[in-house]
Amino acid sequence: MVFVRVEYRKFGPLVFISHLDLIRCWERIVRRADIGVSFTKGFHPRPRFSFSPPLPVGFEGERELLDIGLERPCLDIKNRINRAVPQGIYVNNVFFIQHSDLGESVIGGLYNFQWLGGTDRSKLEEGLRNLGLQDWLYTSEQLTSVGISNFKNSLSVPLLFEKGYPSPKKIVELIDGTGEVIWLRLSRVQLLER
Amino acid sequence: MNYPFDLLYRVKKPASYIGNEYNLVKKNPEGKVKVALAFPDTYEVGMSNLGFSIIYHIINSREDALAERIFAPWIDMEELLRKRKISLLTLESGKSISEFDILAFSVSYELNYSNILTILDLCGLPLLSSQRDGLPLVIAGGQCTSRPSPIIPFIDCFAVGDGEDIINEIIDTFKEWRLSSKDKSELLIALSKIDGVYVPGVSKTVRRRVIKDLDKAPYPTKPLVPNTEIIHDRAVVEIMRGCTRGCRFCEAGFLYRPVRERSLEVIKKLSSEILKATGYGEIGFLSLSASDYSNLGGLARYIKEELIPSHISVSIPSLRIDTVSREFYEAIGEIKRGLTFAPEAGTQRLRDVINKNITEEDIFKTMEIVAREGWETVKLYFMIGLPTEKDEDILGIANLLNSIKERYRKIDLNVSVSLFVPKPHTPFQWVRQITPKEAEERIRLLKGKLNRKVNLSWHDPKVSLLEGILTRGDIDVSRAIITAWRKGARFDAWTDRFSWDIWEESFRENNIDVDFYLREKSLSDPLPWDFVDTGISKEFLWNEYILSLSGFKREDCRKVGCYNCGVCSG
Ligand code: SF4
Repeated sequence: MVFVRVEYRKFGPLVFISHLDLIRCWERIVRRADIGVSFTKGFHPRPRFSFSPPLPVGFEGERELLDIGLERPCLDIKNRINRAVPQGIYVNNVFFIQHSDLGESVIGGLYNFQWLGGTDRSKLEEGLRNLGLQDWLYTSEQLTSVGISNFKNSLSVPLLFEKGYPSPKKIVELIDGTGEVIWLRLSRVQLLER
Repeated sequence: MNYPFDLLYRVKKPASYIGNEYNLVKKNPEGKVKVALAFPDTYEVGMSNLGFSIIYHIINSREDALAERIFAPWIDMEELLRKRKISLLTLESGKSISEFDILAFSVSYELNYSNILTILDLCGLPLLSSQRDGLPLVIAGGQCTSRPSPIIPFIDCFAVGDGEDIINEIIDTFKEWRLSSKDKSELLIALSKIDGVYVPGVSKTVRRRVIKDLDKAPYPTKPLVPNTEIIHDRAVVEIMRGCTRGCRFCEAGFLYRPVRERSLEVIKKLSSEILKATGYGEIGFLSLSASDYSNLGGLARYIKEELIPSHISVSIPSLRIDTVSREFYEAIGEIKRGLTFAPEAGTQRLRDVINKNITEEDIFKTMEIVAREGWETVKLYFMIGLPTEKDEDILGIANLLNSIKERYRKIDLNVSVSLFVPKPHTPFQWVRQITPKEAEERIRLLKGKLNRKVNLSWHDPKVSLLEGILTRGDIDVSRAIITAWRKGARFDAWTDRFSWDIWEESFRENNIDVDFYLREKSLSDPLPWDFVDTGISKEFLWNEYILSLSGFKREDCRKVGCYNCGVCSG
């Protein structure tokens, strides 16, 4: 068996599906794409997958990883998959690899939080200080890129999947505590590898 | 995603509102008849409903029409929508109902009635047809339209029976009307001429529509693939419609007669197309009683030779394992996951009354297979409150289960008991429904005698009480539905949402005598669903009822020949 490492984006409507939903979604994508996947044995055969650590619900993933075990590797895997995805998943790169070691190699992620509204900055700063993350809050910047002439707040934090690190959800709670947040964009920009 | 983005960050199940499923087609609305198809329960329930999926498919296969979906928003979403003054939007294009010609409800369960009102209200429509003029036309189809009285005031037009042809005729009629008129009453009169359509205030009676040939019926071969897990998350092929075993308590058994089978050829073709178009790894073969499918052997071969080798797992929900070859159930994963079967009653006498043709021997034969194959759990279904039921019959359930448990100690027995709701259009439509108090007493009796190692669970008898009233109710009940909805009744089918107190108050405030709907009726009593002709004669149902009381059994007409229930002659 050989593996293919798929680098993909999860975005748009699909930011709201859970990791379990995402697994089911990928099972169907690879069956539709017909790329010669290797299946587990038993009454409910499943494609052999290994995923990078779950994205929290609500987060975009700009570079997520998935290793797929292949029985009969075919050549145009990327195109085949991209023809079989629902809106909200897109594959950027695929690489054949000999061993799948996602479980050990990925140790964390760089998370980005952007929002509008929520004016009580001092409260947020205090919360971040308590979590030991005070250095990561960026100054407000113009939202020209999205075409809204307003101020958006932005925060980018590397978080490890180890014990003791706050979950991204925790930070969203902090942001929510700063007043009425009217727009949010959450993403995992990058996976941090060993 | 059609709702403001941040809204979805604030609800428990955002994935229910995102749509964008694989196979979704967005159509240009110009010049088309625009139908909003509404299912008055959650996305997860509605998307698992085959009838809903068939109608969606039929409308969208037309060049001159389009269908978009609406589901009942969960409580948290409803609150947010009200707070922000946002109306319900369709999943496909995010439009509000004002852009549609027809709002079509699929109503398959009475406990969804309150959600119909939520949807109407969040669409900005008055609840009562009499207060809505102009479009959209509000129609309803699904199982409940065979006894629609309690929701008559909310709906302009009902489709009764198989919807495949009716929906096309409704759209054709609408198109024609639109060319020549703006007067809604003319539309309603035209609709009332369609076979199987009931228009309150115009039609006097309605005859259930039946499609003849399943092989020729349209079927969704590119169904939407939900992005989030739904209740029945798999490919589905209906192999047979109807059942003539004649279990006297079973509403579906009478409502979907006669039996119509899909040929194995067509089943194979549909299966492979659907699997290819969706990527599902599991397929369910649907029917009321799969063991009666004539070409079960052929189906087994197909499963074994084609599906299993392509890593597809199979489920056949209504299959009785004591009736099929060993090879067959060995191939099916569903059984391994949890075998279910339904003796329904604890004594042979009572099983004869309800015409459930399972003997104790069959039950033990099933258990023998379970033990031999090393399966770990079995789920058994029973009903209490069946006609002529006595304490002995309740004790009979305990005796039966105790002796199974004694013989098969290692197998977990999960037993589910529900309260019998006598359903319209069945031989038991005249029977009294027992009260929750009686039900509790009988459950206590059962519990007292049952081996502790048998896991017993039961449905809240108050839920069955409400189901009974809404199923057997007349048009007066509609007032209580409105009151209950105003007091907060939502998702009554969900145990964590159900509140009998709300309903009790609402019945009281509207002077509705609950007992009136639950008591025994005589042949001469008018029944609220009399105007719906299912094709089965009332005479036949009555005779079945009387014969049942003395335990006369009725064989399957497919085996012993026609006994003239009426369905095939009409
Ligand atoms: S009319 Fe006769 S054959 Fe047809 S469903 Fe009734 S009993 Fe069976």
